[in-house]
Amino acid sequence: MIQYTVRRLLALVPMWIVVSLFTFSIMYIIPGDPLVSILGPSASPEARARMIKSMHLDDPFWVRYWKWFSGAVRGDLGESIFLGRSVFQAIVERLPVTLYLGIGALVVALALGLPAGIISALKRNSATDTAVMTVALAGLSTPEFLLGLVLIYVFAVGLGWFPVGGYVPLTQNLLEGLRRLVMPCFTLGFIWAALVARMTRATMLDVLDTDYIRTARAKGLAERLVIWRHALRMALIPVTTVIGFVVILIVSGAFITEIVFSLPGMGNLVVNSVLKRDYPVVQGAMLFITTGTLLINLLIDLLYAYLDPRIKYD
Amino acid sequence: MRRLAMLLVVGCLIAAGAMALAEEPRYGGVLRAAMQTNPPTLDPHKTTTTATQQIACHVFEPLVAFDENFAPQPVLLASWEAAEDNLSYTLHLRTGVKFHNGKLLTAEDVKASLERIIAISPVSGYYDGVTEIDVVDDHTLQVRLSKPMNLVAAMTVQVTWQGIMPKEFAENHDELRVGQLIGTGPYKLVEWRPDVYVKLVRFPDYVPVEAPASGFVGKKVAYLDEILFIPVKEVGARIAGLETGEYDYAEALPIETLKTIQANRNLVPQIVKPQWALVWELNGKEWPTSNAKFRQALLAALDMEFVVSTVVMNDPNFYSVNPGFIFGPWSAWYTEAGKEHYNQANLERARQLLKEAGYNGEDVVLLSNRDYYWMYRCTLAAAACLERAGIRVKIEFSDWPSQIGKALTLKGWNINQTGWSPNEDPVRTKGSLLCGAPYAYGYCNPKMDQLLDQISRPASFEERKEIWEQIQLLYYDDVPVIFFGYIFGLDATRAEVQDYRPWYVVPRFWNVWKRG
Amino acid sequence: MTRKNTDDTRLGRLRETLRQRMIVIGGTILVVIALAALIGPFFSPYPPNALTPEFLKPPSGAHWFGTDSFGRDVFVRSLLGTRMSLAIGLATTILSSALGTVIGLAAGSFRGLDYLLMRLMDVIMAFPALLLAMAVLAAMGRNVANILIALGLVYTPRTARIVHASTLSVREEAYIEAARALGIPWWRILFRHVLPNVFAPLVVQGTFVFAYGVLAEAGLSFVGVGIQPPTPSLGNILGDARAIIREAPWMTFFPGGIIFALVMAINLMGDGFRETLDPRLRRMFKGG
Repeated sequence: MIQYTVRRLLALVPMWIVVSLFTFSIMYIIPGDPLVSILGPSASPEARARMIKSMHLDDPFWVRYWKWFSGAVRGDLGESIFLGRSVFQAIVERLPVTLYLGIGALVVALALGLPAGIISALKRNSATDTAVMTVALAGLSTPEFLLGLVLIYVFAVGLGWFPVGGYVPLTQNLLEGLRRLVMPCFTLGFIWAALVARMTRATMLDVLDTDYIRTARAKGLAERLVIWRHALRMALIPVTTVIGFVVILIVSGAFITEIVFSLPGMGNLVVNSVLKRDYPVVQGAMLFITTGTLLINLLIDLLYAYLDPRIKYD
Repeated sequence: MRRLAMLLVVGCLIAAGAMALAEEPRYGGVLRAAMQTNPPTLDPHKTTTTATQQIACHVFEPLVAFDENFAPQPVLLASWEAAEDNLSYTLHLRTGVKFHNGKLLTAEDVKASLERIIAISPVSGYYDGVTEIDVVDDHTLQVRLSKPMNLVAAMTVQVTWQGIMPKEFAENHDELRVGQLIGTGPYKLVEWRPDVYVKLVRFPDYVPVEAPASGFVGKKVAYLDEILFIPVKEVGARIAGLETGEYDYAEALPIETLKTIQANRNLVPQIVKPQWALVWELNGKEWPTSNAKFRQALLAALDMEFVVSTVVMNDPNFYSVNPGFIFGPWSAWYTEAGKEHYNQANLERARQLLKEAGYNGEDVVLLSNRDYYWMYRCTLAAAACLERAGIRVKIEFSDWPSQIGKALTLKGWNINQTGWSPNEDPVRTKGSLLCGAPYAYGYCNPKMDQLLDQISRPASFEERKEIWEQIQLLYYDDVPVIFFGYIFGLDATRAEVQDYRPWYVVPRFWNVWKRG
Repeated sequence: MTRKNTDDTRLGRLRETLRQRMIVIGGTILVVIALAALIGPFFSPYPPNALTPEFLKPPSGAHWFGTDSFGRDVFVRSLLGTRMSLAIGLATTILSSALGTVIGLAAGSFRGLDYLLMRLMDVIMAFPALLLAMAVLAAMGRNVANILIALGLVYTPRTARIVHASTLSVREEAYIEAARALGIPWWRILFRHVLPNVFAPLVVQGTFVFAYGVLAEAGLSFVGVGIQPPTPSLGNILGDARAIIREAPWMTFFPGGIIFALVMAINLMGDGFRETLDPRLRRMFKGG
């Protein structure tokens, strides 16, 4: 296990280099430049030329890449072109937004998905099961922006219960901040809940049929005890996966939900920076996101191994 | 007797109503303005983007600015005079003007600021005749020129780019940040949290001039304690925030939402008039737009009334279709010279011209974007007109920076969808019509250059207007760009916001106050 | 990793009918939508891109789904948008299945390539899918071909992983070992024995990619980087509708309803296939 972990960690290094090269190349070949956004559409060519020189945008690819990469290795992601702060700081500012969004969505997803999945599994093939699984399938089939729009239409425009969007830091005004997070968390959370419910059901069914549960039953253990003691532990596996999703989401942001609800999270940061050609931010944020994702995926695999005695690693 | 009593009562009611109308402006309150975008920088000399201008015009003041009729008026200057030979100008500053850091405005500050503007700002090209700026005394400068040029016209170009700052900051030609961005305006900049807000607070030592407020000049009073410019990209969020009272002002709302705003008693729709001229810039280097006959065919095919009215969904309050290229009827420069070429919608003539041009159904590439709904709508409506004349239009949508980036390469496109803000002086057209200017996109006519040179020289308004008429005539002959007409924007305020005057592409919040 | 397998046989018949029902219901909805999208526009009196002064008319007998802010008929545009969604979903599926199969088979067959290819897939999967697709589209320009490349790129790793896993498990089977011992060339084993075994998971994965593809195109077009107007797509109609959801809710609800029904139908079929083709696959696709 330890050997496996170390090997997987080492494997991350070349992957990380490829990721950085990939990210950098996309921004390199992307047409247009940040000058239009900085200088405005009617800037003089002299001003443009000056700016290109001062930003070293005329350096060759490898020079630019090396400059950025060597900085990134030392933990220096550079300065944002537009935000007047370092890329690192810009990321740190966005993280709480996605953090709250992710946690909120996770709570919704687990609160709805786990019980639904468990009930479905226990009452397999009943009308309840069919109903729950149909709703779950519907959840999986709904684009998040559509659900967001419908929620806005009903609860913000129609009933006026929640604001249409925007973000208020929880440290500034807890209640208002939470009120703004309800709909976005629900949008994401509902779709994840569908996923959780399906995974929980499938895992539970598997587990209920495994030999050791059968043995437990045969030994005369009460059905409820069987479920609680053994089956639920196994059901933690889909939960782990979903928590993994959430952590990945916390670093990467859910950009469509963030756009629909005007939340200044990581996804919005990347999208806006792509549109304005804020190269350092896109590169830095993408590197941050992918590094985070790679690490989390690794962690999830390791957790699986820990939780599921049936999984073996060679 | 009873009638008299009635009359008295009615009279009292009317008097009371009139008093309510003439309510005294009240100091205090925070104005939250929901804006379309986050500014790329707050340094006014570094950029031409509207998002920066909107903020800068509250913080900085120029030497000269224009009023609501686009006529130049002094702001930080008290007066100016040109020398007999037109080779130098003497500028006299107002006295007692304070910067936000408490220092008094002096000629040294103005010299350093003008030098910064000439060195790094997007308007530097308009100052091409300036050789030296001399400080005569604390409040007097002399600007020496290498050729006769209309210095005041240059100083009026896009005044929001031409703010004056203290010498110690103006000497720094790098991008200035909060803390270094110090002006003389009625509001001062205190905080910028990108993508969250820009915060301005009242500058208590601001001394307003007594002239009536108009456009960027005249009396400016900071009634509000604080102004927050909040970037809210989503239109829906801007409107909803306005409805819930979270914002006091929202800009750039689509015309579709007018009914919703009108239906809400707490909101007041504001028609921003004038706001944008719809324009197609044509690539003079690529076939077929390199051919004058083809360009004339485009003009002949276009039904301007249809295009412009489609952009604003046929609401007559939101558009103006008139032949005044660059200057609409609200400007002293307005002329109808060449109007027979405008709004022809003559498909037969267009086909004839296409034949003469030798056009054989090649793709005509039109660059556009959906970042600005009015550009998007103009593109679709106008492309439909061209299709009817048998021109094959290939629309390429991208984001705004990509579009400009591609347009500047002069390769692989014919038409660039854009919009121009209302112009203040004809010298401004040099940027788009002068041979070799980057935004002329390959258009070159020595006759036009000569006229543009003439109009940049000091002369009386009447003389210059005559030249302008010739420029407009030549424009309609050459068709270097396609001018469609004007649209007026839709902004909205909460009902408690008083004395907001919608005009031009940037909102002005001085003299605006909030009812308690 | 390897897992032990057990399968439930109780209630088998009930299940069988259920999964058949899923395929039938899903298939019917899909066929109805596809037929409407393919044939419907020919019967519409309204050209999809013609601008008329009939701005923002609510649904009526003349305009079933109302009109948009250019006075265009939303019904005919939605049908054409559905056509686009189906085409992009299908093409993405074919592209990512083909690529994924080749990569997965190659990685599963040759130990030398295995590590390299699968780590490359991990790299791509480390990027958030839609964000990556968006960046690729910004870099390469927004057109249908690039949308396919972007979505193909994003969804290939998932298919490759599944094919890879299946290949590996087939490899270990005794009869394959036997075939190799007999000196049968690997490519023949691949085609005779490995590929057929990979087929079932591929079909199931393909259905899900189809559903993802439809959703992804809608999302990209919704934020404005996908299908470019005036060409209609369900996503860009919804994108135009976003700012005016209050003034013209029909522009959101009708095209949105079509996306939902379409994806739901595809997912139903995917679930049905998964249960029918190979019960063992249930685990591989847990949760879809």
